Amino acid sequence: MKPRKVLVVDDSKLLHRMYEVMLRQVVLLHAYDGQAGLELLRKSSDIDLVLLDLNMPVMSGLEFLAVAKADAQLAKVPVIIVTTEGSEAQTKRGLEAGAIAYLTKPFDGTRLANVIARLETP
Amino acid sequence: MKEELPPRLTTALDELRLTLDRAAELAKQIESQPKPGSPETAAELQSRLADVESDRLELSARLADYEHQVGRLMNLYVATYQLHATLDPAEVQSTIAEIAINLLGAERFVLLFWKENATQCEIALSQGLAQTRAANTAAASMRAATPWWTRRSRTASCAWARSTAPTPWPPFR
Repeated sequence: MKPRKVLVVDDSKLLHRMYEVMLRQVVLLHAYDGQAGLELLRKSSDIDLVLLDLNMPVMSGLEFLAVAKADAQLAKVPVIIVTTEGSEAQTKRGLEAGAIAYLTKPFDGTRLANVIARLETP
Repeated sequence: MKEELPPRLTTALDELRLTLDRAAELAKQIESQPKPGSPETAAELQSRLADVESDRLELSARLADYEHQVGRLMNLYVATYQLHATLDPAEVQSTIAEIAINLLGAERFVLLFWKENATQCEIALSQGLAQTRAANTAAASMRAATPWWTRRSRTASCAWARSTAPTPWPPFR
């Protein structure tokens, strides 16, 4: 299924703006740390996908994943990790924690679309 | 006694003869053309297929090129949008760092500021480098960018950059 509502959890305003440009056809919800992301995820039950950064203040991406995957309702929402290159260990831990895919920065619209398209086809 | 045909019937017979001649000519032409499945037809189809394949490859390459350019323009748009979204120097510095990390993929970088009334640059922001190494890298990169006649010491010199007149934009064509 093509995602219609996507939650972006990233502390970089630049990346939020980038997602707005790249994902014009979907509704975006914005959170700037893991804690705010979890609150939004709990409030909006119709979120189809989460784009998650790992290094964030207040609550990191890995902590976000741990909490989200422990909750039966939140665990259903697929999570894509967006990381900087060179943090393979963290990415591996993120995938083990329940993320279904990862994307390394810098990335372009085509790569993002390809990763999302792979989720659409089971 | 010769039997004379009425004029309309003569005309009709002439037309019939002409039609038969034309049909015979067409039949000859069809016979002379390569039949489906013949080596000539196969060669022609093969050549057209090669043309189409070549066009397809060229168009795919152009599409990939355009997509790459669109991606770069998108990055440029986002970077300039964020840089112009604030007048706060600290936020501008943070945006520059975000651009370096997220759009350029930089793991190590240094941002240098010119000191007022001085000939040296100061490190405004560095990531992935120890302070001394950052200073050395900054000095090295400034030396690389500085013309040889302005190199005075191991310290990065900024005087040349300040005194250099801005390069005019090339005219639009």
